[in-house]
Amino acid sequence: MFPLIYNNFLFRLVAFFSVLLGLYILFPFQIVSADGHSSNDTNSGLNYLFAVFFVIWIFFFGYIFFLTRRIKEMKKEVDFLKEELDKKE
Amino acid sequence: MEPFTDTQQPHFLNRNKIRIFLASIVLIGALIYFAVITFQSAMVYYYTVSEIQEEPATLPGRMVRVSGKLVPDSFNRDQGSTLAFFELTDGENVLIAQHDGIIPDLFFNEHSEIILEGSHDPSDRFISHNVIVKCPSKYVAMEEESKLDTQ
Amino acid sequence: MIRSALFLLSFVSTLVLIYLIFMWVPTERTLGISQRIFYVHVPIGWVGMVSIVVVGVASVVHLITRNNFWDAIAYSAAELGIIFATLILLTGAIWAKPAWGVWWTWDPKLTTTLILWFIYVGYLMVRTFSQGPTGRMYASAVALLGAIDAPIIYLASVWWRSAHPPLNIGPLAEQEMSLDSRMLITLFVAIVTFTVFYIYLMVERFNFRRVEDKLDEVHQYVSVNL
Repeated sequence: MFPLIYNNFLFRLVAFFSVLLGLYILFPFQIVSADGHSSNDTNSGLNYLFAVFFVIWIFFFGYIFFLTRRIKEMKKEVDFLKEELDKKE
Repeated sequence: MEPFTDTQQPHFLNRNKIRIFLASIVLIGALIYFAVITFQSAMVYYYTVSEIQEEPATLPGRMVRVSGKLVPDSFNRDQGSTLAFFELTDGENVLIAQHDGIIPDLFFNEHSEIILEGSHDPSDRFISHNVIVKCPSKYVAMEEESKLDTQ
Repeated sequence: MIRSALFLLSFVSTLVLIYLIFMWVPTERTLGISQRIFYVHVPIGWVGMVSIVVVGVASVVHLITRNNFWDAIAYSAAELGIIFATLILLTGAIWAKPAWGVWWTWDPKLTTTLILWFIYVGYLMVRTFSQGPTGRMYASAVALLGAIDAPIIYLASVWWRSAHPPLNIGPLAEQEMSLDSRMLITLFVAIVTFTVFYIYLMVERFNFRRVEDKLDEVHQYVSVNL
C-alpha cells in the first residue's frame, strides 16, 4: 500500500468528537448543570435555529475540504507513479 | 510484494495492530458503558408518579427519573432563592418535589410534561437534580390557537 | 448530466426550504421558533438511518458477488452516513437545550442514535485499519449491526418511554394529522431536499471512490510488473 494513511483527516475529526463525547460521559451532570441560563425571548429560539444551520454548513464545507485534500493526495500519487515509470524506462 | 513500502512494512503493520486494538477497546468499552447506563438503573427511561411511589426499585437515594404534570399553583419559590418546591401528578397520585437551580421556561407551560432526574430523600420528598421538559407530542401552529381562543 | 441535474435540483430545493423554514412555516405554540429545527433534524435523521441500511445491503451484496462496485457504494454511504449521524446528534443537542432544558439525556432514542454513531465510526475504522477481504468482511458485520439499529432508533419512542414525542410521520405514526398542514408541507420539502442532496453526494463520492480504487489497481500493477 502506498504510504499514505487514507482518511487521515476523517480520523482526526472522529478523534476530536470522541474526546468531546468522552468528556460528556465522564462529567454528564457537571456539564448539564453548569449551563443553566434560559430566557423566554423569541430571539433565543432563533439563535438556536441559526446555530443548527451554522453547524450543518460547517460540516458540509468540512467534507468538501476533506475531499479536496484527497484529490491533492491522489495527484501526488499519480506524479509519483509517473516518476517511477520514467526511472524504469 | 510492494517495492515502495517494503522498508516501512513491519513498522506500518505494528502501528495498525496497535490502532485496531485501541479502537476496539474504545468501541467495546463505550458500548458496554451505554448498555450499563441504559439498563442498570431502570428498564424504563422514566417512571410515572404512581409507579415511583409503589415500586420498591426506587429506594431512597437511588437515581431515577420520574415524569408527570405540574400541579397548577403548586410551584413555590422564595424571592431571590434558587430552591423551588412543587408537586407533580400523573392524574392519580401526587409527588412532592424540590429542585435547586434554574428552571426552564417551558416548565410552567400547561402542555408540558416534566421529567425530573433525582432521588427520594428519607421523608419521601423527591430531590431533583435535573429538570427535563418533554416535548408536546403534537405541534400546533400559533395562529391556530388564537383562532381557537376567539371561538 | 445526472450529476448536474441532481446538483441543480438540490440547490433550488435548498433555497426553497430555507425560505419555508425561516419565512413561511407557522411558529409552534409552546416550543416557539426553536421548533423549526425539527425541519432539518428529522430529514437528517432519516438520511442518517437510510445510509447505514445502504451500507449494510451493499456490503452483503459485495460479499456475495465480490464486485467492487458494491463495495464502493458501501464505503461512500458509510462516509456520508457518519457526517449525517454526527449532525443528528449535534442538531438534536442544540434543539434539546431550548426544548427540554438539557443538551443531552440518556433517552432511548438518543442512546440508540449514539450507538449508530459508534457503528459508523467502527465501520470506517475497520475499513481504514484492515484493508483487504477480511477487513471488508468484519466491516460488513459492523454495518449489519447498524442496519438492525436503524429501525430500533425509528421506533424507540414507540417501544419505550422517551423524551421524544411518538412518531409524527411515516406509516407507523399513531396520530392522524399531528402536524399543521403547512408544517407537513415544509417537512415534506425538507425530506425531499435532504434525500436529493444525499443522492447527489452519493453519486459524487461513489465516482470518486471508483477513481481511488483504479489508482490503487494501477499502483499494484506498477509495483508488481516494474
